[in-house]
Amino acid sequence: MIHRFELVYEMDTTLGCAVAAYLDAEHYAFLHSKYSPRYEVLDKSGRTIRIRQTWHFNNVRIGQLCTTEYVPPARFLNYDVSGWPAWLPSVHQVMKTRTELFYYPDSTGQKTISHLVVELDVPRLMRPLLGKLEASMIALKKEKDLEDMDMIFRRERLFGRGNLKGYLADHQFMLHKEDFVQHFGTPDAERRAAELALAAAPASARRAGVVELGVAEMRV
Amino acid sequence: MKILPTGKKAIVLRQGSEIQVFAEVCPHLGADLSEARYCARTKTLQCKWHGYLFSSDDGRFVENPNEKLMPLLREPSAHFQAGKTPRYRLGSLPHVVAGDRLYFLKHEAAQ
Repeated sequence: MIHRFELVYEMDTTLGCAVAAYLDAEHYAFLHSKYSPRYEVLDKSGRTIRIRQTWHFNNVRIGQLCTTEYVPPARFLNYDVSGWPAWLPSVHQVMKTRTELFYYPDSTGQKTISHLVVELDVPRLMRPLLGKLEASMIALKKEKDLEDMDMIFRRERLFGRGNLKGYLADHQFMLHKEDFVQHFGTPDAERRAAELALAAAPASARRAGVVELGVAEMRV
Repeated sequence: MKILPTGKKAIVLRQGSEIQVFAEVCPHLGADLSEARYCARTKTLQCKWHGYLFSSDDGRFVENPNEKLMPLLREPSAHFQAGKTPRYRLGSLPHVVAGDRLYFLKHEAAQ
């Protein structure tokens, strides 16, 4: 059976800053070390990357493999999730997970809507666990986004809202840098990227009245 | 960590008889270095955001650990020059030590 849920909230930042924070892979193993202290890239093909996130549990290194895909300017997919090592019993052996994250501007164009669509393909017998599973996925997503927002707000205080100069510098590494520069390298490009992001938003997209992250959540 | 009357924060490190005072802004992307991890053995400060390491002796950039973590992705391109990491350095705050007190100066003291 397919269990589908969405998580929609507003982030008080520009689309460019939200996308930059997502593509800034260098922070995953540090700012988000609580969740995945080790982040390794196993393979890359175009805009698709196979990653392994691991942590230590009772002196055993365990984790998960996942494929991530970037669809410019502001859509991010995660799929083919499996446990690691493969012999280790894992929920991923009976459950297929696919997530699709859309960023698009709110009705004022000044803030960003984060719209996560999750699809879990699970055996019916797992139905009683779905509520807890969904709640833990939502909590994790919000915690990580709050950590990112903390950094985004700090940069805003120091360098001004929407300032992408640090990310655009040619010494600064980020995933899919060429795509990012193409879509967010200039104010004109950023405006076009916002239009494209809106056009790519899911049918259930909403742009006004969305609750801000950290205040409450809006679920559909 | 010390909060100055101006509202700014400073990082004060005592290493033996030496006292180092650094500004709290990471020169990479601006994280709060008062939350950095200090290692007395390697004499480094590690930024919590991207893990960049700085010498706690003089504030110079030591290492970006991500270069080892994701070499597969760090291919040079038109807008990413892997070999052009700036010579980051932590901002050093002017100060004087008098007895058991540390004074922050608005401007560098005249030599």
